[in-house]
Amino acid sequence: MTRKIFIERILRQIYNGQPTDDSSITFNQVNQWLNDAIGLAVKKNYTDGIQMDGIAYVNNSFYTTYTNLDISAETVDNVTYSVELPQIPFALGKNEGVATLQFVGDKKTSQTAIPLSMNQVAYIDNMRPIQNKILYWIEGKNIYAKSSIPLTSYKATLRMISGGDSGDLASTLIIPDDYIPLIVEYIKGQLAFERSRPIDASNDGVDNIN
Amino acid sequence: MNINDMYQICQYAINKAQNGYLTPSQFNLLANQAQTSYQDYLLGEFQQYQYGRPQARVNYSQNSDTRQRLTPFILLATLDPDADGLIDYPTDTITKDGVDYEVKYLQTDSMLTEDFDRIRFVQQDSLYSYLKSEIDPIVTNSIYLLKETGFQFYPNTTDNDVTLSNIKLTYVVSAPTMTWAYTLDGNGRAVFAPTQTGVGVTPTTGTAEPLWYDVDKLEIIARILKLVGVSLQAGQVEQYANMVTTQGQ
Repeated sequence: MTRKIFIERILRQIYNGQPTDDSSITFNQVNQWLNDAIGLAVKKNYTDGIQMDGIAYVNNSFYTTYTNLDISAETVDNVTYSVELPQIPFALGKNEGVATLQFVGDKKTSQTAIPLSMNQVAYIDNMRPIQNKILYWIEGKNIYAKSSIPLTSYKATLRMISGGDSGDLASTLIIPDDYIPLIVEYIKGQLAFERSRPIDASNDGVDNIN
Repeated sequence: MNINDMYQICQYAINKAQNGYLTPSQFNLLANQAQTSYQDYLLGEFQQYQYGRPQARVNYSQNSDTRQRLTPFILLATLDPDADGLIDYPTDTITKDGVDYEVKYLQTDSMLTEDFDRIRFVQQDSLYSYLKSEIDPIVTNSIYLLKETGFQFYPNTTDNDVTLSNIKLTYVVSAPTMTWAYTLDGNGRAVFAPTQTGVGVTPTTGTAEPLWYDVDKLEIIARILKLVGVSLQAGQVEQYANMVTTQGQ
Protein backbone atom coordinates (compact mmCIF):
# COMPACT_ATOMS: atom_id res chain seq x y z
CA MET A 1 0.00 0.00 0.00
CA THR A 2 1.40 3.39 -0.94
CA ARG A 3 1.30 6.35 1.39
CA LYS A 4 -1.16 8.07 -0.88
CA ILE A 5 -3.62 5.19 -0.79
CA PHE A 6 -3.40 5.09 2.99
CA ILE A 7 -3.93 8.86 3.19
CA GLU A 8 -6.91 8.63 0.85
CA ARG A 9 -8.44 6.01 3.12
CA ILE A 10 -8.06 8.31 6.10
CA LEU A 11 -9.50 11.31 4.26
CA ARG A 12 -12.52 9.31 3.11
CA GLN A 13 -13.26 8.44 6.70
CA ILE A 14 -12.69 11.92 8.06
CA TYR A 15 -14.84 13.52 5.38
CA ASN A 16 -17.42 10.73 5.12
CA GLY A 17 -16.66 10.15 1.47
CA GLN A 18 -14.74 12.04 -1.12
CA PRO A 19 -13.28 15.24 0.31
CA THR A 20 -14.59 18.37 -1.35
CA ASP A 21 -12.51 20.95 -3.16
CA ASP A 22 -12.58 23.18 -0.10
CA SER A 23 -11.63 20.52 2.44
CA SER A 24 -8.85 21.80 4.64
CA ILE A 25 -7.02 18.57 5.52
CA THR A 26 -4.52 17.91 2.77
CA PHE A 27 -2.46 14.90 1.72
CA ASN A 28 0.74 16.47 2.98
CA GLN A 29 -0.81 17.22 6.33
CA VAL A 30 -1.94 13.63 6.86
CA ASN A 31 1.50 12.52 5.75
CA GLN A 32 2.99 14.54 8.60
CA TRP A 33 0.78 12.77 11.13
CA LEU A 34 1.64 9.47 9.50
CA ASN A 35 5.28 9.83 10.52
CA ASP A 36 4.25 10.12 14.17
CA ALA A 37 1.89 7.20 13.83
CA ILE A 38 4.60 4.97 12.42
CA GLY A 39 6.66 5.69 15.52
CA LEU A 40 3.71 4.69 17.65
CA ALA A 41 3.31 1.42 15.78
CA VAL A 42 7.00 0.59 16.04
CA LYS A 43 7.00 1.26 19.76
CA LYS A 44 3.92 -0.90 20.18
CA ASN A 45 5.64 -3.70 18.32
CA TYR A 46 8.65 -3.33 20.61
CA THR A 47 6.56 -3.52 23.77
CA ASP A 48 4.45 -6.33 22.30
CA GLY A 49 7.66 -8.31 21.91
CA ILE A 50 8.53 -7.80 25.57
CA GLN A 51 5.05 -8.65 26.76
CA MET A 52 4.51 -11.73 24.61
CA ASP A 53 8.00 -13.14 24.14
CA GLY A 54 9.89 -11.56 27.01
CA ILE A 55 12.44 -10.21 24.53
CA ALA A 56 12.67 -6.66 23.29
CA TYR A 57 12.83 -6.51 19.53
CA VAL A 58 11.22 -4.91 16.55
CA ASN A 59 9.93 -7.17 13.82
CA ASN A 60 11.91 -7.31 10.58
CA SER A 61 8.91 -6.02 8.63
CA PHE A 62 9.55 -2.52 9.95
CA TYR A 63 13.08 -2.29 8.55
CA THR A 64 14.15 -0.54 5.39
CA THR A 65 17.53 -0.56 3.66
CA TYR A 66 18.94 2.78 2.58
CA THR A 67 21.84 2.79 0.16
CA ASN A 68 24.21 5.26 -1.42
CA LEU A 69 24.31 7.68 1.52
CA ASP A 70 27.11 10.22 1.44
CA ILE A 71 29.89 10.11 4.01
CA SER A 72 31.54 13.23 5.39
CA ALA A 73 34.83 13.53 7.25
CA GLU A 74 34.51 15.17 10.67
CA THR A 75 36.99 17.84 11.63
CA VAL A 76 37.45 16.72 15.25
CA ASP A 77 40.10 14.15 14.28
CA ASN A 78 41.23 12.02 11.35
CA VAL A 79 39.24 8.91 12.17
CA THR A 80 35.66 10.12 12.62
CA TYR A 81 33.17 10.21 9.78
CA SER A 82 29.48 11.03 9.65
CA VAL A 83 26.46 9.98 7.63
CA GLU A 84 23.24 11.96 7.61
CA LEU A 85 20.27 9.66 8.08
CA PRO A 86 16.97 9.97 6.23
CA GLN A 87 15.25 10.50 9.57
CA ILE A 88 16.03 10.46 13.27
CA PRO A 89 16.08 6.77 14.25
CA PHE A 90 13.34 5.58 16.58
CA ALA A 91 14.34 5.61 20.25
CA LEU A 92 14.18 1.88 20.88
CA GLY A 93 16.57 0.22 23.26
CA LYS A 94 19.93 1.91 23.23
CA ASN A 95 20.42 2.04 19.51
CA GLU A 96 18.01 -0.34 17.83
CA GLY A 97 16.78 2.29 15.43
CA VAL A 98 19.62 1.39 13.08
CA ALA A 99 20.36 -2.32 12.77
CA THR A 100 23.26 -2.56 10.36
CA LEU A 101 25.75 -0.23 8.75
CA GLN A 102 28.13 -1.06 5.91
CA PHE A 103 30.32 0.87 3.54
CA VAL A 104 30.27 0.24 -0.17
CA GLY A 105 32.70 1.28 -2.86
CA ASP A 106 34.85 -0.02 -5.64
CA LYS A 107 32.46 -3.01 -6.01
CA LYS A 108 33.23 -4.12 -2.48
CA THR A 109 31.21 -4.05 0.68
CA SER A 110 32.71 -3.76 4.14
CA GLN A 111 31.83 -5.97 7.05
CA THR A 112 29.04 -4.58 9.14
CA ALA A 113 30.19 -1.89 11.49
CA ILE A 114 29.91 -2.38 15.24
CA PRO A 115 27.28 -0.33 17.07
CA LEU A 116 28.07 1.54 20.25
CA SER A 117 25.83 2.97 22.89
CA MET A 118 26.61 6.49 24.02
CA ASN A 119 28.50 5.36 27.10
CA GLN A 120 30.59 2.99 25.03
CA VAL A 121 31.64 5.89 22.84
CA ALA A 122 33.45 7.32 25.85
CA TYR A 123 35.18 3.97 26.54
CA ILE A 124 36.29 3.61 22.94
CA ASP A 125 37.80 7.07 22.98
CA ASN A 126 40.13 5.85 25.73
CA MET A 127 41.12 2.62 24.02
CA ARG A 128 43.45 1.75 21.23
CA PRO A 129 41.83 1.51 17.81
CA ILE A 130 40.64 -1.99 16.90
CA GLN A 131 42.28 -3.16 13.71
CA ASN A 132 40.05 -3.47 10.64
CA LYS A 133 36.89 -2.70 12.57
CA ILE A 134 34.57 0.22 12.05
CA LEU A 135 32.63 1.41 15.06
CA TYR A 136 29.59 3.66 14.93
CA TRP A 137 27.06 5.35 17.10
CA ILE A 138 23.82 7.15 16.41
CA GLU A 139 23.46 10.74 17.49
CA GLY A 140 20.32 12.60 16.47
CA LYS A 141 19.91 12.49 12.74
CA ASN A 142 23.53 11.41 12.16
CA ILE A 143 25.60 8.30 12.41
CA TYR A 144 29.21 8.79 13.41
CA ALA A 145 31.75 6.14 12.48
CA LYS A 146 35.30 5.69 13.68
CA SER A 147 37.63 4.09 11.19
CA SER A 148 41.33 4.17 10.49
CA ILE A 149 40.49 3.68 6.80
CA PRO A 150 39.43 6.89 5.03
CA LEU A 151 35.74 6.47 4.27
CA THR A 152 34.83 9.56 2.25
CA SER A 153 35.26 7.82 -1.09
CA TYR A 154 32.67 5.21 -0.10
CA LYS A 155 28.93 5.24 0.29
CA ALA A 156 27.00 4.03 3.30
CA THR A 157 24.37 1.30 3.27
CA LEU A 158 22.25 0.82 6.34
CA ARG A 159 19.14 -0.89 7.64
CA MET A 160 16.94 1.11 9.92
CA ILE A 161 13.39 1.12 11.20
CA SER A 162 11.45 3.44 8.95
CA GLY A 163 8.05 3.76 7.40
CA GLY A 164 9.63 4.27 4.02
CA ASP A 165 10.22 7.46 2.09
CA SER A 166 8.12 10.08 3.84
CA GLY A 167 8.79 12.59 1.09
CA ASP A 168 7.28 10.48 -1.67
CA LEU A 169 3.58 9.80 -1.41
CA ALA A 170 3.83 7.20 -4.16
CA SER A 171 6.29 5.13 -2.12
CA THR A 172 5.27 2.01 -0.27
CA LEU A 173 4.25 2.47 3.34
CA ILE A 174 6.51 0.01 5.13
CA ILE A 175 4.25 -1.04 7.95
CA PRO A 176 2.93 -4.60 8.30
CA ASP A 177 -0.84 -4.84 7.99
CA ASP A 178 -1.33 -5.97 11.59
CA TYR A 179 -0.16 -2.55 12.79
CA ILE A 180 -2.14 -0.50 10.28
CA PRO A 181 -5.25 -0.36 12.53
CA LEU A 182 -3.16 1.23 15.27
CA ILE A 183 -1.96 3.90 12.87
CA VAL A 184 -5.47 4.49 11.59
CA GLU A 185 -6.84 5.05 15.08
CA TYR A 186 -4.07 7.46 16.00
CA ILE A 187 -4.41 9.59 12.89
CA LYS A 188 -8.19 9.55 13.01
CA GLY A 189 -8.02 10.84 16.57
CA GLN A 190 -5.74 13.73 15.65
CA LEU A 191 -7.69 14.74 12.57
CA ALA A 192 -11.08 14.33 14.22
CA PHE A 193 -9.84 16.65 16.96
CA GLU A 194 -8.82 19.18 14.35
CA ARG A 195 -12.17 18.90 12.62
CA SER A 196 -14.06 19.36 15.86
CA ARG A 197 -12.40 22.64 16.79
CA PRO A 198 -14.43 25.79 16.12
CA ILE A 199 -13.35 27.85 13.15
CA ASP A 200 -12.79 31.56 13.46
CA ALA A 201 -14.91 32.50 10.47
CA SER A 202 -15.23 36.18 11.30
CA ASN A 203 -12.61 38.58 10.04
CA ASP A 204 -12.87 40.89 13.04
CA GLY A 205 -9.32 41.07 14.35
CA VAL A 206 -10.24 39.07 17.46
CA ASP A 207 -9.05 35.53 18.00
CA ASN A 208 -11.71 32.92 18.55
CA ILE A 209 -11.80 32.23 22.29
CA ASN A 210 -13.47 28.83 22.01
CA MET B 1 -43.01 27.52 -22.68
CA ASN B 2 -41.68 30.77 -24.10
CA ILE B 3 -41.67 34.25 -22.64
CA ASN B 4 -45.02 35.01 -24.24
CA ASP B 5 -46.60 32.13 -22.35
CA MET B 6 -45.10 33.47 -19.15
CA TYR B 7 -46.51 36.93 -19.81
CA GLN B 8 -49.94 35.55 -20.63
CA ILE B 9 -50.00 33.41 -17.52
CA CYS B 10 -49.20 36.45 -15.44
CA GLN B 11 -51.85 38.50 -17.22
CA TYR B 12 -54.37 35.74 -16.82
CA ALA B 13 -53.76 35.36 -13.12
CA ILE B 14 -53.81 39.08 -12.48
CA ASN B 15 -56.91 39.68 -14.56
CA LYS B 16 -58.68 36.76 -12.97
CA ALA B 17 -58.00 38.22 -9.56
CA GLN B 18 -59.13 41.58 -10.91
CA ASN B 19 -55.86 43.20 -9.96
CA GLY B 20 -55.49 45.37 -13.04
CA TYR B 21 -53.18 45.18 -16.03
CA LEU B 22 -49.51 44.26 -16.20
CA THR B 23 -47.84 46.31 -18.92
CA PRO B 24 -45.00 44.79 -20.99
CA SER B 25 -42.43 47.07 -19.41
CA GLN B 26 -43.66 46.17 -15.93
CA PHE B 27 -43.53 42.49 -16.85
CA ASN B 28 -39.97 42.82 -18.13
CA LEU B 29 -38.95 44.62 -14.99
CA LEU B 30 -40.57 42.13 -12.64
CA ALA B 31 -39.56 39.04 -14.62
CA ASN B 32 -35.88 39.90 -14.37
CA GLN B 33 -36.21 40.75 -10.72
CA ALA B 34 -37.97 37.43 -10.19
CA GLN B 35 -35.35 35.36 -12.01
CA THR B 36 -32.56 37.05 -10.08
CA SER B 37 -34.39 36.27 -6.87
CA TYR B 38 -34.87 32.67 -7.93
CA GLN B 39 -31.25 32.24 -8.94
CA ASP B 40 -30.16 33.64 -5.61
CA TYR B 41 -32.42 31.15 -3.91
CA LEU B 42 -30.86 28.26 -5.86
CA LEU B 43 -27.32 29.42 -5.19
CA GLY B 44 -28.01 29.56 -1.47
CA GLU B 45 -29.14 32.78 0.10
CA PHE B 46 -26.58 33.69 2.71
CA GLN B 47 -29.16 34.95 5.18
CA GLN B 48 -30.09 31.29 5.60
CA TYR B 49 -26.67 30.43 6.95
CA GLN B 50 -26.47 29.50 10.60
CA TYR B 51 -23.55 29.46 12.99
CA GLY B 52 -22.15 25.97 13.31
CA ARG B 53 -24.08 24.78 10.29
CA PRO B 54 -22.62 26.87 7.54
CA GLN B 55 -24.81 25.87 4.66
CA ALA B 56 -27.94 27.34 3.23
CA ARG B 57 -31.19 25.43 3.39
CA VAL B 58 -31.05 25.33 -0.40
CA ASN B 59 -27.59 25.41 -1.90
CA TYR B 60 -26.78 24.76 -5.52
CA SER B 61 -23.94 22.36 -4.96
CA GLN B 62 -25.73 20.33 -2.33
CA ASN B 63 -27.98 18.20 -4.41
CA SER B 64 -28.39 17.20 -7.98
CA ASP B 65 -31.90 18.61 -8.32
CA THR B 66 -30.94 22.15 -7.39
CA ARG B 67 -27.83 21.88 -9.48
CA GLN B 68 -29.77 20.52 -12.43
CA ARG B 69 -31.95 23.61 -12.46
CA LEU B 70 -28.85 25.78 -12.74
CA THR B 71 -27.13 23.77 -15.45
CA PRO B 72 -28.16 26.17 -18.27
CA PHE B 73 -26.00 28.71 -16.44
CA ILE B 74 -22.97 26.58 -15.57
CA LEU B 75 -20.10 27.15 -18.00
CA LEU B 76 -16.50 26.07 -18.35
CA ALA B 77 -13.58 28.45 -18.83
CA THR B 78 -9.83 28.05 -19.08
CA LEU B 79 -7.85 30.69 -17.21
CA ASP B 80 -4.27 31.80 -17.71
CA PRO B 81 -3.44 34.30 -14.96
CA ASP B 82 -0.82 36.98 -15.50
CA ALA B 83 2.57 37.07 -13.75
CA ASP B 84 0.96 38.48 -10.58
CA GLY B 85 -1.63 35.71 -10.55
CA LEU B 86 -4.46 38.00 -11.55
CA ILE B 87 -7.14 37.41 -14.14
CA ASP B 88 -10.51 39.02 -14.73
CA TYR B 89 -13.73 37.14 -14.18
CA PRO B 90 -14.73 35.38 -17.37
CA THR B 91 -17.51 36.41 -19.72
CA ASP B 92 -19.06 34.17 -22.30
CA THR B 93 -21.95 33.75 -24.68
CA ILE B 94 -24.73 31.20 -24.44
CA THR B 95 -26.35 30.36 -27.77
CA LYS B 96 -29.92 29.07 -27.75
CA ASP B 97 -32.14 28.68 -30.78
CA GLY B 98 -29.63 30.61 -32.84
CA VAL B 99 -29.63 33.61 -30.50
CA ASP B 100 -26.54 34.67 -28.57
CA TYR B 101 -26.90 35.77 -24.95
CA GLU B 102 -24.01 37.58 -23.29
CA VAL B 103 -23.46 36.26 -19.79
CA LYS B 104 -21.28 37.30 -16.87
CA TYR B 105 -19.53 35.40 -14.10
CA LEU B 106 -21.57 35.09 -10.94
CA GLN B 107 -20.08 32.38 -8.74
CA THR B 108 -17.31 29.78 -8.89
CA ASP B 109 -18.36 26.16 -9.13
CA SER B 110 -14.99 24.43 -9.12
CA MET B 111 -11.42 25.41 -9.84
CA LEU B 112 -8.84 22.81 -10.84
CA THR B 113 -5.36 22.86 -12.29
CA GLU B 114 -4.72 21.29 -15.67
CA ASP B 115 -3.67 18.14 -13.80
CA PHE B 116 -6.93 18.12 -11.86
CA ASP B 117 -5.37 19.22 -8.61
CA ARG B 118 -7.70 21.47 -6.72
CA ILE B 119 -7.28 25.21 -6.32
CA ARG B 120 -8.86 26.23 -3.09
CA PHE B 121 -10.67 29.43 -2.20
CA VAL B 122 -9.35 30.85 1.05
CA GLN B 123 -10.52 33.53 3.40
CA GLN B 124 -8.54 36.73 3.18
CA ASP B 125 -7.58 36.51 6.86
CA SER B 126 -6.13 33.03 6.37
CA LEU B 127 -3.91 34.17 3.56
CA TYR B 128 -0.77 34.60 5.62
CA SER B 129 -1.10 31.03 6.90
CA TYR B 130 -1.15 29.65 3.38
CA LEU B 131 1.69 31.84 2.20
CA LYS B 132 3.88 30.84 5.15
CA SER B 133 2.95 27.17 5.35
CA GLU B 134 5.77 24.65 5.58
CA ILE B 135 3.51 21.60 5.45
CA ASP B 136 1.50 22.62 2.42
CA PRO B 137 3.34 25.46 0.81
CA ILE B 138 1.18 27.10 -1.78
CA VAL B 139 3.32 25.76 -4.61
CA THR B 140 1.77 22.38 -3.91
CA ASN B 141 -1.51 23.68 -2.61
CA SER B 142 -2.77 26.35 -4.97
CA ILE B 143 -5.23 28.90 -3.66
CA TYR B 144 -7.26 31.80 -4.97
CA LEU B 145 -8.84 34.91 -3.60
CA LEU B 146 -11.74 36.90 -4.98
CA LYS B 147 -10.98 40.47 -5.97
CA GLU B 148 -13.19 43.21 -7.30
CA THR B 149 -12.69 42.43 -10.96
CA GLY B 150 -11.23 38.94 -10.94
CA PHE B 151 -9.32 36.14 -9.26
CA GLN B 152 -5.99 36.36 -7.48
CA PHE B 153 -4.01 33.12 -7.62
CA TYR B 154 -1.14 31.85 -5.52
CA PRO B 155 1.39 30.61 -6.42
CA ASN B 156 2.22 33.05 -9.19
CA THR B 157 5.26 33.96 -11.19
CA THR B 158 6.09 37.18 -9.35
CA ASP B 159 5.85 35.91 -5.77
CA ASN B 160 6.74 32.25 -6.07
CA ASP B 161 8.30 31.79 -9.49
CA VAL B 162 5.64 29.23 -10.26
CA THR B 163 3.23 29.82 -13.12
CA LEU B 164 -0.29 28.47 -13.08
CA SER B 165 -1.87 28.06 -16.47
CA ASN B 166 -4.76 26.26 -18.13
CA ILE B 167 -6.80 26.48 -14.96
CA LYS B 168 -10.12 24.74 -15.41
CA LEU B 169 -12.92 26.83 -14.00
CA THR B 170 -16.55 25.87 -13.96
CA TYR B 171 -18.73 28.75 -12.92
CA VAL B 172 -22.28 29.93 -12.66
CA VAL B 173 -23.28 32.92 -14.74
CA SER B 174 -26.02 35.44 -14.11
CA ALA B 175 -29.20 34.58 -15.95
CA PRO B 176 -29.29 36.96 -18.93
CA THR B 177 -32.00 39.58 -19.08
CA MET B 178 -35.28 38.29 -20.51
CA THR B 179 -37.41 40.63 -22.57
CA TRP B 180 -40.96 40.42 -23.92
CA ALA B 181 -40.76 42.60 -27.02
CA TYR B 182 -43.81 43.83 -28.88
CA THR B 183 -45.11 45.78 -31.81
CA LEU B 184 -48.26 47.88 -31.78
CA ASP B 185 -51.23 46.80 -33.84
CA GLY B 186 -53.70 49.16 -35.52
CA ASN B 187 -55.52 49.72 -32.26
CA GLY B 188 -52.36 50.54 -30.35
CA ARG B 189 -52.33 47.22 -28.55
CA ALA B 190 -49.07 45.44 -27.83
CA VAL B 191 -48.55 42.30 -29.92
CA PHE B 192 -45.81 39.84 -29.08
CA ALA B 193 -42.80 40.12 -31.44
CA PRO B 194 -40.93 36.82 -31.08
CA THR B 195 -38.23 37.42 -33.69
CA GLN B 196 -38.56 40.99 -34.90
CA THR B 197 -36.05 43.71 -34.02
CA GLY B 198 -35.41 47.32 -34.98
CA VAL B 199 -37.70 50.26 -35.52
CA GLY B 200 -41.28 49.60 -34.51
CA VAL B 201 -40.35 46.98 -31.96
CA THR B 202 -40.23 47.83 -28.27
CA PRO B 203 -37.50 47.42 -27.17
CA THR B 204 -35.67 47.55 -30.49
CA THR B 205 -33.34 44.74 -29.48
CA GLY B 206 -36.28 42.34 -29.67
CA THR B 207 -37.35 39.42 -27.56
CA ALA B 208 -34.88 37.66 -25.29
CA GLU B 209 -36.11 34.29 -24.07
CA PRO B 210 -35.41 33.03 -20.57
CA LEU B 211 -32.88 30.19 -20.60
CA TRP B 212 -34.42 28.34 -17.68
CA TYR B 213 -36.07 24.95 -17.84
CA ASP B 214 -39.87 25.07 -17.97
CA VAL B 215 -40.31 24.00 -14.36
CA ASP B 216 -38.14 26.88 -13.30
CA LYS B 217 -40.07 29.32 -15.46
CA LEU B 218 -43.07 28.45 -13.33
CA GLU B 219 -41.09 29.30 -10.23
CA ILE B 220 -40.22 32.63 -11.80
CA ILE B 221 -43.87 33.26 -12.70
CA ALA B 222 -44.84 32.62 -9.11
CA ARG B 223 -42.25 35.18 -8.01
CA ILE B 224 -43.52 37.73 -10.54
CA LEU B 225 -47.02 37.28 -9.23
CA LYS B 226 -45.81 37.62 -5.66
CA LEU B 227 -44.19 40.91 -6.61
CA VAL B 228 -47.45 42.00 -8.19
CA GLY B 229 -49.33 40.90 -5.15
CA VAL B 230 -51.01 37.77 -6.39
CA SER B 231 -50.17 34.76 -4.32
CA LEU B 232 -50.39 31.47 -6.14
CA GLN B 233 -49.13 27.98 -5.54
CA ALA B 234 -46.87 26.53 -8.22
CA GLY B 235 -49.45 23.84 -8.93
CA GLN B 236 -52.08 26.39 -9.84
CA VAL B 237 -49.62 28.24 -12.02
CA GLU B 238 -48.78 25.00 -13.73
CA GLN B 239 -52.46 24.47 -14.52
CA TYR B 240 -52.68 27.94 -15.96
CA ALA B 241 -49.55 27.31 -17.97
CA ASN B 242 -50.85 24.09 -19.44
CA MET B 243 -54.15 25.68 -20.24
CA VAL B 244 -52.58 28.67 -21.95
CA THR B 245 -50.09 26.54 -23.83
CA THR B 246 -52.63 24.07 -25.17
CA GLN B 247 -55.76 26.18 -25.53
CA GLY B 248 -54.62 29.76 -25.63
CA GLN B 249 -55.79 32.40 -23.23
